[in-house]
Amino acid sequence: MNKGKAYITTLSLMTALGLFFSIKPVATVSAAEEAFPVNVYFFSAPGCGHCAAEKSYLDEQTALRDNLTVVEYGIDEPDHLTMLGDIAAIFSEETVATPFTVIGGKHYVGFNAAVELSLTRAIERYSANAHVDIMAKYLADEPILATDFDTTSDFEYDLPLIGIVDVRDVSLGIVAVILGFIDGINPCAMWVLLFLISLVLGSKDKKRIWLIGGLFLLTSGVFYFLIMMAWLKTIELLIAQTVFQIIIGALALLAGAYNIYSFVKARVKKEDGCEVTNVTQKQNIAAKVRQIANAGSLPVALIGVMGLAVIVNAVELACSTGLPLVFTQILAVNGIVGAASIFYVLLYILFFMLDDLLIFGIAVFTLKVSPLASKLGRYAHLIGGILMLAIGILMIFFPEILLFSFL
Amino acid sequence: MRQIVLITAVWCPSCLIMRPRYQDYVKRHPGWQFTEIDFDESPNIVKQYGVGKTLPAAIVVSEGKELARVVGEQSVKELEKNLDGYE
Repeated sequence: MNKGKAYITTLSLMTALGLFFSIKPVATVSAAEEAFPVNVYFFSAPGCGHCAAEKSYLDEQTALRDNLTVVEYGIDEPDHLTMLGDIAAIFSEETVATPFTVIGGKHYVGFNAAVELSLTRAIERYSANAHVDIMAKYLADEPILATDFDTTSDFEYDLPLIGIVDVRDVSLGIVAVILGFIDGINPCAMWVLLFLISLVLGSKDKKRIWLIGGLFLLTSGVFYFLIMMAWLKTIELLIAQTVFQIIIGALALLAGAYNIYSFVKARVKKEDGCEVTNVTQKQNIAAKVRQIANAGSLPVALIGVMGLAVIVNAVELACSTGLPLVFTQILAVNGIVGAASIFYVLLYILFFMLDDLLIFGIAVFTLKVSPLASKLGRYAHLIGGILMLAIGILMIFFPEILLFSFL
Repeated sequence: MRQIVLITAVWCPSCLIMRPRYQDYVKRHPGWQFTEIDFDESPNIVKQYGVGKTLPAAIVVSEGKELARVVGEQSVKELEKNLDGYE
């Protein structure tokens, strides 16, 4: 690609970024000279940890906004408990639990990152617009109409060129598939697999090729899975800290920018090959690969290949564009824990390994190394870079968009 | 006689891809020779050719003089286009 094309590519990317910044929530808060009064009714229970968290959040909001009034009802008082039951029935809410929050024509059960974001948006929207206060009508014994309920989605966004999209319709599974696949075509650890395949292909022994290559891939997958689960556990502990989320977002921005720069640089210089960096490390790994491929005993070779897979993936972890860290952050923001988190990480890993499995499969059946790896890797920097930039921006400025639905 | 001196490394996937392409080109063009130098095993020769930061590097040589240099991965068509000019 010549300089002209490189500039066009860069300009296109900047335009895409500009479009991102033009994303706005559908229920946009227009600047009002004077904010409408907003009441938040909050049912809590003694010893309720989430209630304490929400109270802390509401105290912050009250300090920021003169128009906001928070009314707390402790359900340890019988009258308030009855009120809670009535209000839940009005909203046709089967789950009667604390904290239970009513604002305008909306209600929320529980308190987490998603509820916090929704409440903030609701407060902003009602501050700027006239609205019905269902709780006030209930307290005044006025009839509540069907039109009093606010059916506005907190998750609708007006995307440029696309229109209104409810991000809850975006499946978290699809995110796992896309990010996993993009992470997988990153060429960082690919060279070891290709080198290993090229060495064992020489033996023409399909059984040996299957075992050695297959075990390398399996060990790589297990290692990556363990790393991502460890990250997820760590992030879950830190999820309440917005600062950590912003740090991850900033890292994603940096990684994204660097990857796009690498892609454009390779195109401009027309030098699409292997960078001569970390040569000693690569030479050491290559020597280990030769030892394994030439090992007379198959069990010895298999043990060696497992160790190799762990070493290589550990070494190349930093080279990966940060996508696994970002994905685990997205899982944490969505409150995905337990079996669900294992499922999504496994889905990510499956598509992460897909290109390796394909290349390995082709090698076994054709006894040749396919140029597919190199072709995919060429665009990994660009696609991964754009994704990382987009996710970094969302994580910092529009974290609510990262709240997805389940499969 | 034209010679392609191809500098490669075992840890470079692009080298793995390009090796057979250069070998194939030389097979189809009489009057061309192919020599491969390992980046790790022949540092002096690599230094002599002043290889930069990207591999593979193919140096087209004739009577001891460098005519051209092709760096990185090229498609078969691009390679033909780059090398045909030096026949």
